[in-house]
Amino acid sequence: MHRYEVLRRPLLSEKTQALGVLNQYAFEVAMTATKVEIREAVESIFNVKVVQVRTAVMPSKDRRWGRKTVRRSGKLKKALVTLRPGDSLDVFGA
Amino acid sequence: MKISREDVEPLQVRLTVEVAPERLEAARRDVAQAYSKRYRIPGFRPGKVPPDRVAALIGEASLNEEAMEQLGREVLQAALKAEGLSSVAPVMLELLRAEPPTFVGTVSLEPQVDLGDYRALRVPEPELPEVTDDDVDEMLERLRRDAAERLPVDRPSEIGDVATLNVKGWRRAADEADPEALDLEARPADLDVAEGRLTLTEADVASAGLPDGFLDAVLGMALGQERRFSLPLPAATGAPEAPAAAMDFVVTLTELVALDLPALDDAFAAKVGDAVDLDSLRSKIGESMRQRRRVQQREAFLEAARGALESGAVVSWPPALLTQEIKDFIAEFREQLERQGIEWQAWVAQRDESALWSEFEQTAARRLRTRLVISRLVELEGLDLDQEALDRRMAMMRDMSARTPKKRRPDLQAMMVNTMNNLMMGRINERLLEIVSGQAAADLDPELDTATDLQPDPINAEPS
Repeated sequence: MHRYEVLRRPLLSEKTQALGVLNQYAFEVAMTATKVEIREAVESIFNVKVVQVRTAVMPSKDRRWGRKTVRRSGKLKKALVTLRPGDSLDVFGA
Repeated sequence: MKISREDVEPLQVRLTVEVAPERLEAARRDVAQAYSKRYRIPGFRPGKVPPDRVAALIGEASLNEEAMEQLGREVLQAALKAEGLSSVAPVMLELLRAEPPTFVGTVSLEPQVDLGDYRALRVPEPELPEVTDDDVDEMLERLRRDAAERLPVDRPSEIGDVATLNVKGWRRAADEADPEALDLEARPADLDVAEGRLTLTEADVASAGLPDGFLDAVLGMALGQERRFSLPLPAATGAPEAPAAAMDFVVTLTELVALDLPALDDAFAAKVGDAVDLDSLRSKIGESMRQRRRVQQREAFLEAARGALESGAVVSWPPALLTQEIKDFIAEFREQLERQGIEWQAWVAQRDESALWSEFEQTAARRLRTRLVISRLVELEGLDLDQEALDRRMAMMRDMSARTPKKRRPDLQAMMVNTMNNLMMGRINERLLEIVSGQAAADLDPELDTATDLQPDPINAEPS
């Protein structure tokens, strides 16, 4: 998988912003991406050193419309990337 | 905050204010915070979006621009307070330098009005023209003509007839050729009236603005007849560079009506004036004419008094005040035109723009000057609104309004403002007339007051 296919988008929210103090950044990544692929993608795209990658698959969210159940969003895989102290990512506006 | 001020003529102060860069950063944070509270940004609770995230969303440049604007407003207030200044017109603040943030703005100071020794002003009261028997007779004659029966006739026109005429007129300079030699119709007419109705009397011809001799020229005309004639014009007619000496007319009579005047008797008096007899109609007309002339005389007196007050006043104002006055004047004028169904853009397009603006500027300057002079007079004389009179009038209006159907009820607020203006203007006019006629000299002149105080009181004085 190409490194630009591994990282889908940065996840920007109040919670991920707060992780900035720990030098951690969150991304949505391809469902099939491995931690190694994520580390290599972040290091090569942003020219930083990754210390740790933790991943989590978020379940899809359903919603009821009367008797029907409708899928509101598909499941996604997110990656929490910890960088070496001193490195940072501009894309998060930090 | 470093403030430097420089006086600029007329009545302006140029302020240059330098602020610490941290204040710009604080303003940037405030603006970002305001955005963060106002707009919903996914992933963040309202008010919790970091400034850099807001900057990334709305653009660094626009965030900075807004921060500068906000900082400018804060700085302006602080600088005005620090310098003890107040501006009579909005201050346009501009960014002189970004590093360190330095703003520059021009403050317009209060206009200055010196009325001089206005209490010594004396204006002679115009004479009240008397209403003579001839004036009353003329009015009666007009009423008779209005009440007359109109009978179409086919005979040469006579004095007193009502003629419908097509009139075309061409102005001619003294050195131009004889009208016989000119092809008049080839030129655009200076006067072109189609189907104009004219009563064939000296007074009506003169009030229609037609030159002497016009009446004689159209007397004896038959229906459908065309007459060509030339009449000399008064010396000051036409443009100063090309004064007109005469006017060539082409007149066609299209309709002629004779007036069957009613007899001047008691029945006529009852019909037109609701009077018991002709004598009482005459006295009613006389009284109403006297009343009108009194009003006209007072208006003329007031105008002369205002003219004298204004010509003796020295007034100066900052340019921003005149700019505002021009804007107000144009807005009022435009509203007036639009009420008459005339489109503003089309009206302006027909005129020479630079001449029009200069005319607007002159009118606005005159208005501003009058307003400032009157305001100063009010201030010096300590004139106040008669609250009791206002309350009385407002009570009357509320009463009338309550009796009017809801949909047609007038705007009481607007009426109150109007009434206040009228009452105040009445007070000012009254005082001004007292001053210029010398009636108010005793209670106005402080020296005279003191002199009176020094006189021994003839009643309570101790016996010597």
